[in-house]
Amino acid sequence: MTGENKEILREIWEGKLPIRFLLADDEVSALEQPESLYLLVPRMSYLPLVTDKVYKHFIRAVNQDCIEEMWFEFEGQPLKWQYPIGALFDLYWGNNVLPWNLIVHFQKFPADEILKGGKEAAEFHFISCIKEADSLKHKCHVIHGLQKKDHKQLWLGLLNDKFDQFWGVNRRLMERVNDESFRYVPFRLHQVDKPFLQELVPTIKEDGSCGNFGDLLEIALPEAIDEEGKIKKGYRIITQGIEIPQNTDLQWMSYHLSYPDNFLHVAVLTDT
Amino acid sequence: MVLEGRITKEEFNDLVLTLIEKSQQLHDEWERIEHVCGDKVVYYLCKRNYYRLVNPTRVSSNNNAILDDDTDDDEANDILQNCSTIEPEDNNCCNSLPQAPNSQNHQQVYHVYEYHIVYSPAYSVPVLYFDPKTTDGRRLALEEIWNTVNLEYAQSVKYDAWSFISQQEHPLLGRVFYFIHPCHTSNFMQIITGKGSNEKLYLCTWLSAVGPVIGLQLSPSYFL
Repeated sequence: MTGENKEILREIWEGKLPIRFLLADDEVSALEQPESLYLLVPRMSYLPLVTDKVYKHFIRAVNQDCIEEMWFEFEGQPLKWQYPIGALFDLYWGNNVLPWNLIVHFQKFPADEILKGGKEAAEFHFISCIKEADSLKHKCHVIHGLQKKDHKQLWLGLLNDKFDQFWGVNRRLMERVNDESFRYVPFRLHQVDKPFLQELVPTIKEDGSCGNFGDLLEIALPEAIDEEGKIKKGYRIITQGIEIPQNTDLQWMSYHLSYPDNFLHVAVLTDT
Repeated sequence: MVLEGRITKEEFNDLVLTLIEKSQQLHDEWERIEHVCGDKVVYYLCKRNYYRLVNPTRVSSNNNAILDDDTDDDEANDILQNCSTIEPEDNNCCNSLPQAPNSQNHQQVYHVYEYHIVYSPAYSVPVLYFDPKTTDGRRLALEEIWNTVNLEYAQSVKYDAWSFISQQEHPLLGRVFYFIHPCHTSNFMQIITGKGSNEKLYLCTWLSAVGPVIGLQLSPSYFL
């Protein structure tokens, strides 16, 4: 449909969030609670990739005999690092104050909710998401044409915040193969205390017209749509920090608003 | 119709019913779970409390060397010779309670598995999720799982370990499971289920290919 808008891609890539990290009170074994640590982190990235400084800052203040994998919590909610930071923020922050206050833990890792393995697991998980996204978009035709070094380039581009390095390969994953739109849109709808929702939503509808965000919601979250096809009062549906108009073209959205894992991560917030 | 090794959701649901029927005849304890989410219903298969006998020597020896990129084939073969070999029959399915420790041999070690077969709309294939624990209820770490993977499989995937078995959020339940990555499923199913093969056997065929990697055996009676 429309061509690539590089300005938007850059803006999305460069989105940052201010976070204040504080060590869990009951894990402090030093005489004093260490000072909190402030970081500006990329929305695009994952918590294990940007928190080395957090680890170094707090690790000496905890009981050295019982150190587990570091994990983070917001208001009692363990944060699943397998979602990009921006997706977590959109879902949990709730128009609170900034910076976003996160509690750092080194004990009682919630193994039922958070994947283990830190950075190494994150790389695999990231590539795994990209493969799944390509299965949805291109029946895996593009990903099967990429080599391990291309996977590495995507990963390093994300890890080192190198837009051009990342998009050097990602451009191929975002291509219209044979001039066709993506078969299905890779997306995940996140809601508090529920597993994420994922459905098959085509970019082109059966009647040949282009699908839009409203069509996606009607398929994946019909309870949020009223009889007139509008989003019901009491629902706020956000991605990349903004409420997306329902008439936004899905192919365009997938290209420009996806996270580096090639998925749209959409937070569904309700008043209740 | 099975196309390019893939199946539709409806075909998966039919195959689930076929497998459940057979399972009931064979007293094999697969369950069909109906998962409701809003106005949508999704079916998946579940087998719980599956006791898997694991050779204790194999479990305690350091088999990570087999998975090192640095280990060349000769060295790997040496290690294989020295390990107690696990024949596929040794990874016995054992749905009854574990036997008492045998004082003549070393104590028998069991792990307790929960298996889920869930359809992936993204890949259009079934996916095997599993939750392995010790008999004390402790979830196994990835390294421990690798130590129990049949040696033949371990060798062939040594360079790509992470992309084969890893942790993943269960797509319906949200909690952390392990899974066997589905990205190659349609390829090998395309090869296995050639023209003329019985499409009704797709799920059993798939399960008999991936299950044994993590100790899940499927009785040949499923194919009768």
